[in-house]
Amino acid sequence: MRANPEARPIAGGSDLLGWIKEDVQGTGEPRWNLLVDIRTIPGSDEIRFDEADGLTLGPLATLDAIEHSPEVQDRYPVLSRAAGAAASPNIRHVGTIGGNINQRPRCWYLRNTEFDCYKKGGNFCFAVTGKNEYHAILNGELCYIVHPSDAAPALMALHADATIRTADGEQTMPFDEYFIGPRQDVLRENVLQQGDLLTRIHMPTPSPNAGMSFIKAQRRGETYDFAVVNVATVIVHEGDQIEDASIVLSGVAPTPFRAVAAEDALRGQTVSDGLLQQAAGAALLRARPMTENAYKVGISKNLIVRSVREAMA
Amino acid sequence: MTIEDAVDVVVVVVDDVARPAEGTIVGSARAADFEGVSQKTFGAGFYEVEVDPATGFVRVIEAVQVHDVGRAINPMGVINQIHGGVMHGINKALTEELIYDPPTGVVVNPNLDEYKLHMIDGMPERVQVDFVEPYDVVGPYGAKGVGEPALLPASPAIHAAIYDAVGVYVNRQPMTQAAVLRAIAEL
Repeated sequence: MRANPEARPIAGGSDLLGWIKEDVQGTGEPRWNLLVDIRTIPGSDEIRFDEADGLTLGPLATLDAIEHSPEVQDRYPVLSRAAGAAASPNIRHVGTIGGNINQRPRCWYLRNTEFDCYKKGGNFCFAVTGKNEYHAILNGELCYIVHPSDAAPALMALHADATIRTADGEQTMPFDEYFIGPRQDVLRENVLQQGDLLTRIHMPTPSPNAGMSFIKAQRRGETYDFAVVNVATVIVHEGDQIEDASIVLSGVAPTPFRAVAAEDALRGQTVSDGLLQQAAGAALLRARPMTENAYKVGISKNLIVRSVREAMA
Repeated sequence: MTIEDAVDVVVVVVDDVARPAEGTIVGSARAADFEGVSQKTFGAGFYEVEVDPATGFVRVIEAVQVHDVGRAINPMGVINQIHGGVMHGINKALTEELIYDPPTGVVVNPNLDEYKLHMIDGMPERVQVDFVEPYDVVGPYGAKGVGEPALLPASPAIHAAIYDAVGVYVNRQPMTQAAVLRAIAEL
């Protein structure tokens, strides 16, 4: 794959095949003409839990397998819920966790052949002058996509690490550093270069006092839709006393967005309505909504409050 | 709202409409006597919704819909048609919209990924439909139609139900989360 710039790895294919069918291409986005099936790599779909070591996921573990794994359901409910919130049962059976993390954005300008936008190597973001009801409210620069993954915020909330294989060998980094914004490179959403692969996902064993919550707001019912906003929350608490908070939102920014300001506001405090409002407000303080998506600011704040309450219940 | 109440509402409306005199021979759609007479069809829909003020999400939890269909030639077909109208009407009220990029005029959601239709879980938990059969003097064999009318009650009823729930009329369709939250914010 390193030798051929038009080669792409394929596993579940639930995003990649749609991408190819939609013929998304431009000077910065080649038309993939060689697909390398990576499903045959032994052990790449493992789900292994060890009390001392934590949870290790192969990138090809399906979303369905993760959702229904007893250890994940028991110790990492936020991840089980997030995996189960993505797409439809059919897609979750073939779609992998690695694919869910690395899937391309759903922006309707990006996925339309009529618009040659920044992400395809063009020099314009059509969402700025056009319909942006579902675009970014935070950290948008040049490009205003939102990160579409449901699993990624849950992994970040659980402080997971990504191990990737590059030309220089293996490298491990927290998911906070794995995703990159459009300012760093508008053509991709994560650190992977052509030919690199995500090879392992690992996260520590959560504290026994950790409460977790995953809430997804979507445009219709509970089925088969990308999030308008979703929130993954892990709160370590002793009754009403918050020891540590980890809150990550997706659907609001070009990368999954860690609400650092909210985490700082909650850490070491006793929970109250006023504190939650203040924390949620702090998290969205730097939101810069576009012409049609200011409503997402309100949804994000409300979901942060709701998810902390749910995690501590 | 029970189905009996809904039937009563439609029957009251239907009873106000002039009936053919006793002994009138009816049964042909092309009878010259009825030139200039248009066919009127009636229906009533009653919808209950839940609105989540935190996300603007609207869920329809109950639908009751009754139509005056003239003579029902295929009663099961009529019932199915009304069920379809309920679902279609909910989509029209809440999600379905063809979206154009204003500067270029290009449709940005020409696919079922972005043009949202509800899945089966968007159907209310309780759906009751019925019809009444006043003989129609214009239609063939006393029948009217129920294709389009079945779609109509859902949108206005859902608009009114949202008003009842959160105290504000959402003045656009579809009533997406953005529209509902904007309307609540302007309250």
